[in-house]
Amino acid sequence: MNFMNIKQLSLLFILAICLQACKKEKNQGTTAVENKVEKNLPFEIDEPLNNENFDSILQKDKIIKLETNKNSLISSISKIEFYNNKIYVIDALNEYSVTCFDINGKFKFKLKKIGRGPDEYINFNDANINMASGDIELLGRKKILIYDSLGNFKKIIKLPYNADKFCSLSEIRFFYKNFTIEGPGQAGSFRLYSINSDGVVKKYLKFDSDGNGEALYGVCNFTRVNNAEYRFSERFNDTIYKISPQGIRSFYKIDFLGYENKRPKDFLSNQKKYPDKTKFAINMAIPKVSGFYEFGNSIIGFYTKYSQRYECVYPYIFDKKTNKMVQNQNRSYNLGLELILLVPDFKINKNPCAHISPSTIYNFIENQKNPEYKKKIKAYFEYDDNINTNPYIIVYKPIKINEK
Amino acid sequence: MKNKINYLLWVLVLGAFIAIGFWILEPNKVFDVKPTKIKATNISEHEAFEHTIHDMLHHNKKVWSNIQTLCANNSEIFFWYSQEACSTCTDSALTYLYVYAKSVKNAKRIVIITPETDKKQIEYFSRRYDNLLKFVDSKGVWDKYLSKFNTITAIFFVVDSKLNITDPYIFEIDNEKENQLYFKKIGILP
Repeated sequence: MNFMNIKQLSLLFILAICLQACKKEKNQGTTAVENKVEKNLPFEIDEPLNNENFDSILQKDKIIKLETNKNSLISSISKIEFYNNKIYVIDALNEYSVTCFDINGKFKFKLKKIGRGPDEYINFNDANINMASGDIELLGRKKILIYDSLGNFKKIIKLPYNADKFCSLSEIRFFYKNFTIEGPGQAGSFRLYSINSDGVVKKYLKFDSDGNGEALYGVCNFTRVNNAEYRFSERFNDTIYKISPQGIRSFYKIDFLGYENKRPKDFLSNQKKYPDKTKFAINMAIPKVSGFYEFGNSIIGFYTKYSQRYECVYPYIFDKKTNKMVQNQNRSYNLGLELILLVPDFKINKNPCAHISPSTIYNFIENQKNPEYKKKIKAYFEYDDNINTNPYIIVYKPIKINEK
Repeated sequence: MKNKINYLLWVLVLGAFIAIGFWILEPNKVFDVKPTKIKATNISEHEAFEHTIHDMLHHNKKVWSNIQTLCANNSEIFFWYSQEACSTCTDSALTYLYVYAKSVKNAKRIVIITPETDKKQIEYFSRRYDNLLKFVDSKGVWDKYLSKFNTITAIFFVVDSKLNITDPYIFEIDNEKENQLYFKKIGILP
């Protein structure tokens, strides 16, 4: 072996050492989330609160009908984003597409690039509009595919771990993974991680034990408060986190009144002791928050209550000013509808918005016995008797809660 | 002195290979993947596998009649997956088929046998792949014939115009090389 070969092999050795070092970097522990709760939110879920009618708090401003044609047809909605007068409908469930409409519902384009090319994807778990750049970001398998606001491919960012949901801020992205096990024989010890623009990875919300517990599938949410702030909530965790360019911190703590001592402290993090959390929660009647959306001084969403082995989901409206729950009922007195489908989950400008499919409106009407209600529902949604069109967007007026 | 340096360098080189070896052997952090142990490798296993597929296709008269119509003039490529198949695995296989159907003129017809029975859901699947793949539902058949092999969750095969079953193959997302060889064999990949 001549000297040159030895030199090359030595370089190889240094490279290998570097690779090992990178691996060690990956396996570093979790970063503690700053535990600085801003406010405790008392949630009254046993006493029915209906002093403030849901319909009087959420008053309809207008209905936007998303244009229906061969190219704009939407299979399902995972999320709706609004940016720069455009409505982006994300389908991460059935069609793996992002369909763009203008503010009046006129179809602009559909981003659907299923394939095996460098700018294509097999599927994606979540998508976001990056409010700093206007880019459409799709969360694929260990990567983010970035397209510009018109759907043209820009680049790919590789990720160290798979993730189920994410949020993008200008300098930092946060990812949540529902699975406690990364792969065969590999325990995942954390649920949330962040990557900043320099590629620095931080892990948060660790599991105390590595048992192969129940996947927390589909039960976390990043909800946008404004262009530079998100809230993060996850199932069975009463802490709501604030996510901003500065990082993540505890922000709200939900106190289900009358249920304070029902939940064991290690319930969420101990996978060995509580492998089937849903079963345990049903048996112990432990409630949970399943939706958390903030609109100015109001917090709107859903909570789940377990009784007699049944899971019941109710909508709620919480007033931050008075620090009180103002609505926890499931029915609209004005329209006679199940409110669960009318809860807003995104904003157009400052207006809270919900979406509803024409087939749901049709079912609402068909299930009503009272002809007056039938008429009212039809008029409210401006329903045109066409069941096969794209969903309607209900734009509400900014929320005002009467202080009593 | 020179000998000592040489010896040291050899130790370093050996160390490098061990380190690289460890790095390569580090398992990928991928979830949803189950290794398959049963493979139709020898002739008797192969025939038995074909026979099982034959029985599965004949299990439901409606499905069989549907397949007879579909295969009347041409050979068709079939992909059949179970309820237990991970969505990443089926999406991966379906993307191979979709890319082929989209890019090849006069492509062979592709039939997907799905455990999904909800018509609306099947319509969504079909729309996802621009209606280029034909979806047929066949609830419960897989469980009756293949559930005992819990490592098999998705299979490919071809049915020719004489209704003979050829080229059966167990699909696994991690066997990228074998998958590509198989797709080349049946004409999905050039």
